[in-house]
Amino acid sequence: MTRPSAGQTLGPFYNYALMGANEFDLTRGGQHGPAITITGKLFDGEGAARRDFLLEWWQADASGQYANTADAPFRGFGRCITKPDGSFSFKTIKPGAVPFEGNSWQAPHASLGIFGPGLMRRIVTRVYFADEDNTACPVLNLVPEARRGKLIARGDSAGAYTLDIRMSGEGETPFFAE
Amino acid sequence: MTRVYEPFGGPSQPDLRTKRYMRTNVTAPAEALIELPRTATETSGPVFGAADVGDVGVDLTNGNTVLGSLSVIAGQVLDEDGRPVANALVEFWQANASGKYPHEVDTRPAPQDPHFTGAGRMLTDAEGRYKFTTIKPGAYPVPSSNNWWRPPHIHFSLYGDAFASRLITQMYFPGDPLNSIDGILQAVPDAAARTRLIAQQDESVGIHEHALGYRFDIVLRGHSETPMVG
Ligand SMILES: [Fe+2]
Repeated sequence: MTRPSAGQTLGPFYNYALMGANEFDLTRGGQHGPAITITGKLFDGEGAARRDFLLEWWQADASGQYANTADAPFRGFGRCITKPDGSFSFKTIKPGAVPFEGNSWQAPHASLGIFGPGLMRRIVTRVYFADEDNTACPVLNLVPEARRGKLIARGDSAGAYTLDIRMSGEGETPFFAE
Repeated sequence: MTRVYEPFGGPSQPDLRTKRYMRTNVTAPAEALIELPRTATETSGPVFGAADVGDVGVDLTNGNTVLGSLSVIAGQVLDEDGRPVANALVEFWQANASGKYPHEVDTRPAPQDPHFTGAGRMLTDAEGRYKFTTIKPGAYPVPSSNNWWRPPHIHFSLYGDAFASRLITQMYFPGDPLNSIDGILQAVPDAAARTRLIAQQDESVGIHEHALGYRFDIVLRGHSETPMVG
């Protein structure tokens, strides 16, 4: 067995290079559920809004199934690069609950992979939704209770959710081991 | 094929906070990462097709005469068992021969090369192979770094067959004296893992009296469910 190749920072000079670097609209292939938006800002450990962080969004469809072909009606994947003011935005549909071990279920969520200048490898977090029942999610419950709220996006009646990401320090977003 | 994904990290991966690269202190999490079991979310992943690759192509010179040493880079994307990862999305980008990126944030007074695209992408074939034509990039200084020059390198982004098998890394060139003092390459504690980020010169990849050849293989996370014997 060979261990995976070492990660290295993607640096600041990449936004012209990546496919769909602004494919933050996961509904671009068609509408397969009510549209929602998730917007926020990304901050570093000194509280500065940071540009040129690459966010990769991965979620199930409305029935909790993950797409497994390139021509799936809803592909579940999007990318967004934070703007000079640190802001990001995704347009998508609400994912369904996803199976866990045994008979248990994970509450509707998206995985978020974060790369950035000064980050030596990917950092992973999740986004949950405040209007879902998150109390029994076996993954969310791995997060210390006092920090769980930092993974839960809050929305309005029009489906506009907000969630900020704090990479380090006070109010740090909970991040998961890969 | 069902692949399993063991916990990531250890000395073959870079430290999240590294002394030479001070910006890691404000971007890397201070709290311990939370262990989670790998669920359907992590073992599934986006599948890419030809339409995603578009017409960006694998010739960063676009057939033009470009400043720098013409080079062919080729290799294989493998899993931890050495099995090819087919249909992996491979994206690559780099500075031009004078160490300049076509990006607004790169404000160093070095010339752009209008004939050099600086980026390409493709899907690996059934054997996990990729190949592209480029030039060897120049070194460039890291701003406000007390004269730290990045060695010539090519950025690689890879998506294997799961959200878990996602990697962004850099390829370095053999024999460059800047390799051994680079804060980013040297952030990988394990010497063998650092060596694996340095391409090998390979005549069979190059084009006779026209382009240098380099071989660079990449291992993504994941191995088959039943461990192979031996
Ligand atoms: Fe670079």
